[in-house]
Amino acid sequence: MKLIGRNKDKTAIDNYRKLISRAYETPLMLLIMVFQAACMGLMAFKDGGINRFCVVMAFALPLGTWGLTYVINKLIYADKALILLTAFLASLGVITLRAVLISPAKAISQAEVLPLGCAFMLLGALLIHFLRIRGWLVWLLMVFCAALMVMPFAFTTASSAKSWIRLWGRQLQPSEFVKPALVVILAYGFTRGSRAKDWFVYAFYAAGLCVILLLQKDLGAVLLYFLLTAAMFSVGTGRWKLALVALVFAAAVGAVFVSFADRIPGFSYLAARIDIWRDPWNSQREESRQIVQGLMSISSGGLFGAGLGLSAARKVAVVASDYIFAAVCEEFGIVFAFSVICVYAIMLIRGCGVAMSARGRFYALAAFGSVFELTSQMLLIVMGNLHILPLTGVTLPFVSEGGSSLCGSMLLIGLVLGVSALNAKDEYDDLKSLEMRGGRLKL
Amino acid sequence: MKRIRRQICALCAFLCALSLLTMLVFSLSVSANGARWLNRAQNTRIQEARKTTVQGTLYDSALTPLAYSARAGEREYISDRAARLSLSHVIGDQKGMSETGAEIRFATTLLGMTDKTGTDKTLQSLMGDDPVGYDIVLTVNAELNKYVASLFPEGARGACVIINYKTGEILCKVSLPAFDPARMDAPVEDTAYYDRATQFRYAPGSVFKIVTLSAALEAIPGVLEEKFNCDGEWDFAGSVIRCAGGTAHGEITLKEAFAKSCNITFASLAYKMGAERLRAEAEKFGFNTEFQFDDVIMYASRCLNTSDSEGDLIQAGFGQGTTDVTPLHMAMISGAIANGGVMMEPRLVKEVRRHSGLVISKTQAKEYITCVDPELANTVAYYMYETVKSGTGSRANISGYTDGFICGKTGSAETSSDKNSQTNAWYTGFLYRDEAHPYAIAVIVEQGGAGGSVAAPIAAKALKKAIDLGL
Repeated sequence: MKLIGRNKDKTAIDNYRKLISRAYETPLMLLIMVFQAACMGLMAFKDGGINRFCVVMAFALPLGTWGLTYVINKLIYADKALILLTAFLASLGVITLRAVLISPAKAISQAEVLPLGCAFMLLGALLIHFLRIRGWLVWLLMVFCAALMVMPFAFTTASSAKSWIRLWGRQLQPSEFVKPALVVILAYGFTRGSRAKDWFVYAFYAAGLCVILLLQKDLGAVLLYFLLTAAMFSVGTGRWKLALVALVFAAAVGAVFVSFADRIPGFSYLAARIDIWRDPWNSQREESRQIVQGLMSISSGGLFGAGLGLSAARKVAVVASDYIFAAVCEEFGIVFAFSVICVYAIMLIRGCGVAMSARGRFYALAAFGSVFELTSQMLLIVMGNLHILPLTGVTLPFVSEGGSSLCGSMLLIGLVLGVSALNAKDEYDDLKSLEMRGGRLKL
Repeated sequence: MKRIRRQICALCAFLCALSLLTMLVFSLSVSANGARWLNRAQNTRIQEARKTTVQGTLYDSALTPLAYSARAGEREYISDRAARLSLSHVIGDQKGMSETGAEIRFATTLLGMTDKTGTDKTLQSLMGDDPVGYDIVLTVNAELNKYVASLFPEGARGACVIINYKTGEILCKVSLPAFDPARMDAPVEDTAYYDRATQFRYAPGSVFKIVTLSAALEAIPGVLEEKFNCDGEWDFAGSVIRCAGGTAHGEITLKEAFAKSCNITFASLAYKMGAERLRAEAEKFGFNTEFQFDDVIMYASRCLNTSDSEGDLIQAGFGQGTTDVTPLHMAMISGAIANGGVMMEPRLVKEVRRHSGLVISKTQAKEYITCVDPELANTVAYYMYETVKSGTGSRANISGYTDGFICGKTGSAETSSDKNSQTNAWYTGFLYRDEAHPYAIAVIVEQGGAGGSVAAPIAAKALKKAIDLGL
């Protein structure tokens, strides 16, 4: 097949990408669409009657998956596999919420947020693709994010600190939206040079955000922000030893903090949580029931699960967000739960591939930071569910209930998509210039 | 750019490895602990499944049905009331009041929920039947259990465990006071739902001297030839240690001290060895560890915290002070001595069967830990033999028994400083070198008095019955 010589760039780049990446995504797309339709179809007729929400979703989810892939590919040449896997995870969230909980309210509200999430994904992709990043833009973003992060303090009452704000009747968690912004800021800041004067402003900015989150008592988010900053710093500036020192230092500070937590006002719950984590089975505390029920839920699914809507996972406290992985284990079984972890790992590998073939340091770091954040968040909550680590209240990206989390994660994956589209364009331009210099390329 | 790519690659590999590790830990911990996590009274899935599934039958080792269901949601128990009561902690109950009984402990098996791939369930639903769980054959013998329970004085509290020390099978497990699984609405005594054999920790008293003796034989060279002097009382830092009944044993050898249960000799041995070595020996016998057995939930036995004083150390020498032990663990310690120093994992399940009678799984004997070497175990066994032949355990003798050697140790453990309160009567022992009847036993009668006169006769009769039944 002759690639060069056609006038239609779009088809040419598409063909080129297919050949280079061997990316025939159609079977994957069909598989995911069948999964979505089958799950929702099964639940539609489960209780004898016809469940309207499930019937609608049995068509809406596959159509949405196809439509999203189609629209994004009309606009830019993004990595289709990443789009499809994201669609799979997001629909898994709606399916699990509907199957586990008796009331459909949470599944419905999650389904309502899905189009918004897709819009955010597109927004992220288009912004990174078409907007040239400049210093003043980053500064503007930094000021905007800082303002967003301190907003929850306005909702703080004397008795408890909050990490969310209320807007149009919905709770919004600013830290979820600041995550993608922080990736962009740090990707810009840490690729300016490896001397301290080039990066220290940005490192301090990230540290400042961590302090704000600490004051809002969102320890899971503090941990995620810190890990993200350390990883991006290491990759961006190349000073991995310094990053390692910071990591060890933070671990030591964290250990001291936790061991004295019962004396720090407002953090006494932390000591209790560690205590419960050490021995949930014999603990007399009420909160230990969450871990106990979670582990029961995880191990009662067996290899292939109890079946859609047939589990008792709703007994686990906060099953819709913190413990949705346990629900997936019980409903679908351990084999499927492993596959879900693998899907995240594939997205990580795919995203790192995009980062490594990026043409600019900024783009490479932005793509890497995005997938790193998503994977570390997944590991943190899955290990918490499996009782390997103490539970931190972070969400399972794309799957957990919560609009802010979904939109934030979609923005992150949007950044990777944007970079992947830029890569495809750059590679095509290379080939074209090769041809202009007289080379003939046969593919 | 090259450096950035290298670092991205490294971090990507790191996160992938972490994901793999998570999956590995996940599968390992679910396969190792899944049954322990699920078989609990808090697990509402069990109550739900009982409404729709025909629970499997629970048999004793002679295939007498102990608990059985005709249809889903029903449960019947063995009709002999005395046997039912004596087995109450083995069987457990449907409400889950007894946390360690088979009804809860093996609930997922009885309900067929252990069928991980779901093939049996699918087949049953295709045939149009109610789902049926698996049957379980226990190692316990109902007749022996009933007889042993009848040996205890009327209204007594206590426990008796008989194990096969070669396989770890629990042949008899009695805990008194009992409850009636068939009549759960009837009022019961305060602590009746606790299994005293596994969930009560008692001060071992003199039966702990088995451990002290093993430690001394290992740690003090030439201790066998040493002479000890006992004048009935030893004033150590203000607390006076006495031998039982205030007897002064005079100048005695280690063997005599063990057979006559001289507290002062063993206190001085503990003092000589130091807390470090005594604790290390006790830990070899399974003290201070969380037991993670497949079939049995047993509380950890304790011996000598790091914060304990010297006074606690010499008290530990003869099993008082901060030292405590569960009766089943005591039987396992005796069993380890009889089995050449190897402690077997205790077993309650003999086999799991399908409803049709087809055996799905047979449990295999599993070594738990090696406590001491065979030569040392033999010496301790010999001392225990002397104890029954000519010492405090003489009432443990079984008349007409010639197949092996009866070895044992008595104990009279103080439970309070009040002089008027009775001691807990202990006896533990085994039939040594008896291939056909490798039994180890532990008996405790709460506030029963002296171990030699109360617990030892119970043990003798119980072992006689076990031999007669030919288990």
